[in-house]
Order: sequence, then C-alpha cells, then structure tokens
Amino acid sequence: MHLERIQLVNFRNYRDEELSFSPGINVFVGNNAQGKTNLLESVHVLSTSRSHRAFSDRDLVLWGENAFAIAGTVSTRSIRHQIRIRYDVDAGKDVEIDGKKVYRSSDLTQVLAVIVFSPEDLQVVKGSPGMRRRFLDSELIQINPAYRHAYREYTKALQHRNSILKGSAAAHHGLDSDLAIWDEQLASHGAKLIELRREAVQELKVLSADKYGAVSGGGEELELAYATSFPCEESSGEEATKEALLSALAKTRRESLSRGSTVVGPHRDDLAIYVEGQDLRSFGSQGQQRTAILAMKMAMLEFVERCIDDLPVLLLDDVMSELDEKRRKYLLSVVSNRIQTFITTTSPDIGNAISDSPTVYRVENGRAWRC
Amino acid sequence: MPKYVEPVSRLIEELSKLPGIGPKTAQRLAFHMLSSPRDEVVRLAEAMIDARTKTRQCSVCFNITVDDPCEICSSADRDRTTICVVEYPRDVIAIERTGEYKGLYHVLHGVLSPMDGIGPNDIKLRELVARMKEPVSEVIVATDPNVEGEATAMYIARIAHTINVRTTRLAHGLPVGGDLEYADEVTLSRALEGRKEI
Repeated sequence: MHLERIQLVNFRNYRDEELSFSPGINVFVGNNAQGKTNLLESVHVLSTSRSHRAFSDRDLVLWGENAFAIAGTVSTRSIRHQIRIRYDVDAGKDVEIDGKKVYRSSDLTQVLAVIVFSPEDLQVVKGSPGMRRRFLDSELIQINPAYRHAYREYTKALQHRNSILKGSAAAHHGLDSDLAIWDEQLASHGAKLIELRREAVQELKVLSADKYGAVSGGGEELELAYATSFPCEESSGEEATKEALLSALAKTRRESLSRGSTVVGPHRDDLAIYVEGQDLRSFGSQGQQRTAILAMKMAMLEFVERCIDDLPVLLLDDVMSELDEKRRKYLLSVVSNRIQTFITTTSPDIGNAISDSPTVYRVENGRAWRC
Repeated sequence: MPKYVEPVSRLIEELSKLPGIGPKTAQRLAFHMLSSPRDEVVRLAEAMIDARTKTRQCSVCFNITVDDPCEICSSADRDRTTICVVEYPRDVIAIERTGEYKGLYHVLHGVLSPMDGIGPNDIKLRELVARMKEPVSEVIVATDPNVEGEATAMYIARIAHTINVRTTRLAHGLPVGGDLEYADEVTLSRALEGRKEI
C-alpha cells in the first residue's frame, strides 16, 4: 500500500497544504521546527486516527483554530481508498473511509498501516520494560482485533483490582472474595494477551535473527524471548497460562496489598533480548543495541506485512542521522523502492546518499514543496 | 462574561447537569423552551415531576413501579422460581420485549466497579442473595458482556454456588438477521466458542 496524496487543513503548523507522494522514498528536508515531523504525524493520524506523539487531539489543531482535517488517497494492492479525518474541539473526531463513517481505528489500519521508527525507539533495548511492551503492543493493538479486545478488558480489570488494593489499607470486609472475582477477569484476559504476545514474539524472533545477521555481517546471533513476570511455562496453552497467572495473583496478594497495585501479570512482563546469550537489556555495546532495534523494527515491518497481506508504510522520523553508514545502507536495502518510506532530516546530504533517486520535499515554516 | 438573565441562565445550568448534555446543547434546549407554547412547557415540567414522584423502586425486584410490589412481582402467571438479574430497569424492558421470559427479575442498579468506588454493598446484591435463599431453581445473570458485567456475574455465581442455586449466563453470539461477514472478530470468535450441535 502507499499514500498517493495528502491534504492538511489547520493541522499543526499547516494552514492548507496538499502534497502528492512517490510510492518509493520521500524525503522531507528542512531546519528544525519547520514542520517535517508534523507531516509524518499526519500520516500516522491517517493510519490510526491518533498521533504517535501528542497526548490530546487538541494539540494537533493549528494555533488559534478549532478544527483540523486530513484527507488522504491510499492505493492498496487492488483498489484506491479515500480517508478523511476531521476533528473539532467541540464536536470531536469523525473518520470516514470512502465517504462512509467508521468507528474502529483498525478499519483505518486495514487501508493504511504504518510503522514508525524514531530516535526514541533507539532506547527500547536498554530502556524500561514498559518501552519494550509498547514495542509489541502498539502494532498488535492495531492489527489484531482479539488482541485489542483482550488489552482493553485486561487494562480495565487491572484498574478495578488496583482500586480495591489501594482502598483496603484498613481491614476490609470480604476483601478476599472481592479480589478473587477480579483475579478471575485479570487471568482470563491476561492469559489471552500473553498467548498472543508469545505467538508474535515467536515470529519476530525468527525474523529479527535473520535481519540482525544481515546488518552485523553474520557473526552474532540475536534472540528474542517473551519473559513473564511470574512462573509460567511456555507453549503450555492459554488455559495453563490462566491457571499460572491465577495462582501468581493469589501468591502475591500480600505484596500487592502493601504496594497498592498488582505486581504480576502481562502489564509487568518484558521482552528479553539476547545476543550470543548475553542480555542486551543490561549489557551490550551501543552498536549492538542499535543493530538489535533496527533488526526488530524491520522484523515488525515484515510481521505486519504478513498479518495484513500488504506492505505497510514506513515513517523514519529523524532516525537516519542516528544510524551509521552501514546500518543506513541496510535500512535502505530493505526499503529498496519496495516499501513506501517517509524520511525527515535536517541534512540534504541524506537525500543525496540514497541511490534510488528519492523524491525530495523542502519544508519551511508550515509549507512544503517538491524540489 | 456577559450572562443571560437569571431565569434563563438558571435553566441552562440545570439542563447542563443532565447526562450527555453539554453547555451548548443546554443553551439550545433552553431557547427551544422559551419559544415553545406555554402549555407545552408546563406539560413537560409536569411529566418530569410526575415521573419522579409517582414512581418508586419495587421492594422485591427494585424495578421502577407505581404500585409496590410491581406488576411482574405480583403477577400470578410468572414462574417464581426463576430470577433474571439485570443491571438497569431498561434491561427489564429489553427482555420483556422478547415475550419469551416468564420468570421474575432483579434489578441491581449498577455493576461492581471498584474504580468508581462501587462495591457489593452499593448495588442491590445483598437483596438478591436474600431472594436466592427462598425456593429458587435458577438465577439467570444478564449483566452486560464486559469486564464489570462479567465480574458481577462471577460474584453472583460464587454466592449461588454456596447455597446450591443453579446460575446461568446469557450466551454470547451473533446478532440474528445480520451478515456473518459484518460481525466483529471478537463476537465471531465468541460465537465459535459457544457453537451448538445441530
């Protein structure tokens, strides 16, 4: 799939802009704070109805205005689709595909799927477990409805359980039976989440090992593993995982009570990353970490491609300057005019360094034009 | 800030306290009333007062009623050994519309939701437990199929189990008359799980 054309009205620092894109590599060149990332962001909003960096839709509206609109034309394998997203501070958000209102952001992802790679991703390997969970969650939520459902229900059940834990510092009548019913909800949705994450990690593991080898020249081996926050045997099935989580919740009840929050479950799990058996989360050079995340992102791209049976669009936000020659070359070889890619950069040299003659746009103060 | 004269601004303020009504809608409703014939507005006001003062909760099932006990609870034609547990009075209406159900009801007036500070004592659960101790053969739990509804169902099932009352849960599945391809994935997989032999 690729984005043919986009139109922005009162979006971020764009008053009224219309651009058409090449199905290959598109480079946005300009100084800082001119609106390069805002263009990438608008593509992300078209794909998910949400920004990847703003907390509230309000922040996306041009200063002094009350509403923004984004319209895009997307070409998928077989047909062309029109996406239109409108947001009004009072009336809220309105999403249309081919003139028909849609209510689930997954419907958008069916038409336009994106993978974002930004400098923050470089922290994923060494950062908090939460960042690694997000690496999995953000894509799975978009492409897998069962995952999205389990994620939402699990999060709600967790909030309810934590409310009981917080409220019961004093002796609470019937506390055990109150917690037990929420444990049950947590365990059944949690087990589903864990099983789906494990399936995804299993595939990502194979894909990213292959890609890590390609970047590093084949000397070292990358391995991913899903690490539960409680004892739980892999590949024993959803029912067994549910039992394991139930018993872990019961065992940690006292600790959870004193902390006022649930200490085990998929919201505390991690994605373990090893190179040659060494844990990259705590050891490993910066080079290894960068190669790992690059391999993981490219693996995710292929994983998403398999799930939606089409090529997602790649958004590279200021990440080229963070990668050295070798890794940049690898990234471009994966893209190789097969995947529509949007790149932001402050340095025009990056555009020149791409051999596949990218389409270059100059971005200046809320205006963009093709060079 | 310029304000409307007191009676109008008071009306707008009261209307905007209603659920789902923001300040703009409240303003529109208020001006609609100002431009309506006087007796129409009086009828609306009377209807609101009547609905509020002439109804109460049934002392048995907690459904909204004029007479206590309510029509369903006092009917001789209903099966008194079956209780259908629902969240709100509107759910009673929904099930009554089927014309299939001949038992009694129990309206919880909410579901367990610790996040919002709602525990077992804040909804009509104790009253339900008391009713389950009378001769009851089946309790049908018809709370919504979300986390709160499921947790509430589980709570009821656990208690029912200790006093040997059979509990059942409404099935999850496909809407009748709908197209399979338009069903969302989660509903469809639930329907698969709950498939029946034919």
